[in-house]
Amino acid sequence: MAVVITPKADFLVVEFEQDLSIFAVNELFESLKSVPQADADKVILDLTAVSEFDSAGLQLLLWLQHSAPAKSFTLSHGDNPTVLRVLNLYNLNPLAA
Amino acid sequence: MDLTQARSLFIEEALGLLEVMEACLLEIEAGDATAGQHIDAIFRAAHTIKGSAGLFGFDAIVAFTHIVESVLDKVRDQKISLDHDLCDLCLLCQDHLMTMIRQLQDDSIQLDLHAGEQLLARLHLYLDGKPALAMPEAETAAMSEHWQFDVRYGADVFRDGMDPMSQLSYLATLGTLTDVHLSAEFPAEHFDPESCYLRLHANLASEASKQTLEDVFEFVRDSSEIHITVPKSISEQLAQQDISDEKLGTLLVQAGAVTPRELQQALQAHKQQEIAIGQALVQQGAVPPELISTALDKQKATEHKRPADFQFLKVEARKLDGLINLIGELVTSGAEMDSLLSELGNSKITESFSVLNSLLEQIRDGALSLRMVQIGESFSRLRRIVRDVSKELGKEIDLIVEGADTELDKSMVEKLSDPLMHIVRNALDHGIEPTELRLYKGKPAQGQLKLSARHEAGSVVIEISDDGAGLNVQKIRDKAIEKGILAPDRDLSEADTYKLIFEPGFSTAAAVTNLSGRGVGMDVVRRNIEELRGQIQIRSAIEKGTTFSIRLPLTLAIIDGFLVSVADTKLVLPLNMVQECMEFKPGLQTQGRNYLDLRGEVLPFIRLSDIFRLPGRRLQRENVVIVQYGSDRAGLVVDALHGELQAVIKPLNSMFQSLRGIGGSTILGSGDIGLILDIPQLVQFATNLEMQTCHP
Repeated sequence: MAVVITPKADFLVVEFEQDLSIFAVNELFESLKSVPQADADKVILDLTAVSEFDSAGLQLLLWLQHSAPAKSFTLSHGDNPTVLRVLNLYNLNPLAA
Repeated sequence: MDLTQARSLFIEEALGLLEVMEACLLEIEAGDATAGQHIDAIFRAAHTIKGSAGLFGFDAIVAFTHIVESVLDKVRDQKISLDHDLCDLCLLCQDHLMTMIRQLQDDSIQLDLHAGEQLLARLHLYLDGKPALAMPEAETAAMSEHWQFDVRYGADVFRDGMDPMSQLSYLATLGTLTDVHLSAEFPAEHFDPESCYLRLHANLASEASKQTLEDVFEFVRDSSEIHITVPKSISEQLAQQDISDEKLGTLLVQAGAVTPRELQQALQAHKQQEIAIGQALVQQGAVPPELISTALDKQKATEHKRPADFQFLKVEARKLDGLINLIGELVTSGAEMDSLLSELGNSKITESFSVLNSLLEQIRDGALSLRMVQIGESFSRLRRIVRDVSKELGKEIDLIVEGADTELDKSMVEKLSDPLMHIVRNALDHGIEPTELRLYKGKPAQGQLKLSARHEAGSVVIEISDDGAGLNVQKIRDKAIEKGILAPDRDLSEADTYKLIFEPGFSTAAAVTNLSGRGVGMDVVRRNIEELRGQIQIRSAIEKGTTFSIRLPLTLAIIDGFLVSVADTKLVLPLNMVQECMEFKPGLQTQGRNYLDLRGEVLPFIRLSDIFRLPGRRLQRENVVIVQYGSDRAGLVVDALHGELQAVIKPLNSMFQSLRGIGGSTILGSGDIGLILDIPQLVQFATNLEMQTCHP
């Protein structure tokens, strides 16, 4: 499993594993399809464990945000350098921007 | 790829285009066509030159043409009108470009840089001067201090193994990235995570050239829409660099106002959204408006280029000459075969060979016609001369061109252009009177110059006639005597007096003007034409005008001939001059003089055996071949008639060049040498001889 989705009290934790890149996006997408339909209003995207992050992965996150406009997304990167580098480059920090 | 070859191809193409441009401009200026009819052609010419020059890195040409093109574009958009002044300016620019391109070929040509600067300055008046052309304020403001990138990534970018991130991080190494903005345009449904929906906007402060920046996106170029906007600083620099060719050229290339790829893209936009390309580019803020013309025409050029490719094929002249030489050999060996077959007397083989022979003739004609070009090309060059000269002299000239589609051997057209130019200049300078004088004489103020070409009895006749003062026989005579060309006591017919102007060192013009009377005179004209086996004749009437009539053989290589023999010598007459053959009855001779009665008409004749002093007894039965050239007819008395043949003309050794009456030689089927008679020269020679006998 590349992604672990854990429903909590009033929010959803989406925990990505190592690969959030073009090689994994299809699989991830299948798993993430349910997120917009979830009851929770808040979604926490946990990228702490991600070691491969590219534009395709980023796009997937953007899509997630785009397809669930009513939800509020929070990004947790835990100072993961791979993630930070991408976000800085794209001038995207935090993701909600 | 052989660059030298490509380069000479470029030069040739560019010169051709410039000629088109010139012809169009002249027609517009003369009022024969409206600007609207020709502006596309003119524009295309300028644009194509710019494009090709760019390929070769001739920056100065690119820079200059670019400005010309921009002005032409304004004309095309009907923002400015192609009035007389602008036409004039365009013609001057055309001249300047011509010099620039010739310079590539010939280092000795000096380019007048100062004149170029002035032209550019004048062009800029058209570009900047009119308020309607000014860039909208908003657009100017929108132009940033930085390079602006707007990249709409294609769907397949991820699948192709590309990542926009890598380009962005590379850009970051080239300068300082600001205002990076990533957005995504997701479809309403069926999101495919492996497709790319991203759009990137970024500003970059960098010293890098546009090419470098564009190369960053090289791998996504095919799938994505990429817009790179030139920083304001460079645009401003561009606008300010009015004058110097060189700097502007360098700048254009460095700044790369518009790169080919951008055009491509604009082309797509044009097709998909049906909006003008220029508009599309401005909307995207990709280029300042004055640079848009480039994009516009690129598309035009592609569209227009296609049909032309199908109409013409460019072939190296060398290959064509090789082919014609081979066909010449084929014809010679065919003739040999023919003579062998007639000895053999096998009717079946003879018959089958005659089919082969007729095919051979067709191939020969086809091959020769490949070298034929329309004389119109030469004429249009003259049109320009007429315009310039009449302007310089302050004379109004109406130029009439007839038969511009008459075809002539390419090499002949080239060799003709100088003599024609000379005659035309002379006609304008000396022939046609100044306007006041014309009015005084009761002639229309506008002088008339007529150029005509037509086919006539196997030759091409080119006539240049003016309605000027005509040649003054007495004046020519006096002058010739003064120059020691003519003995004072010699009597000359009118036609012969006219011919005196072809003598070296003869010039009747009282004043040496810029245009004519420089002594490189009509003798060169006559020599050039005689080198082409042609003749030049003059007809003139006082106060009515003068006509120069140039008669040239159709081709220089292979002719249909008529073989005759005198004693043991084989002679070939050009078949197209032969009218009829008849038995020569000595009784027809009148009073021992050389003329005979041809159905009631007086026909002078020549005994070839006398002229060439060929030994041999006079035969019982002789024949006379009646030849015609132009309006003259004469009979040639020969021993035997052998019939038609195809003669491959081999020029005579230069030792025999001055030989009168013989135009060349050919190898006959039997392997013998046949001499080809130059009939006009021969008849002239015989006439002179006769005259000398009459007036010792």
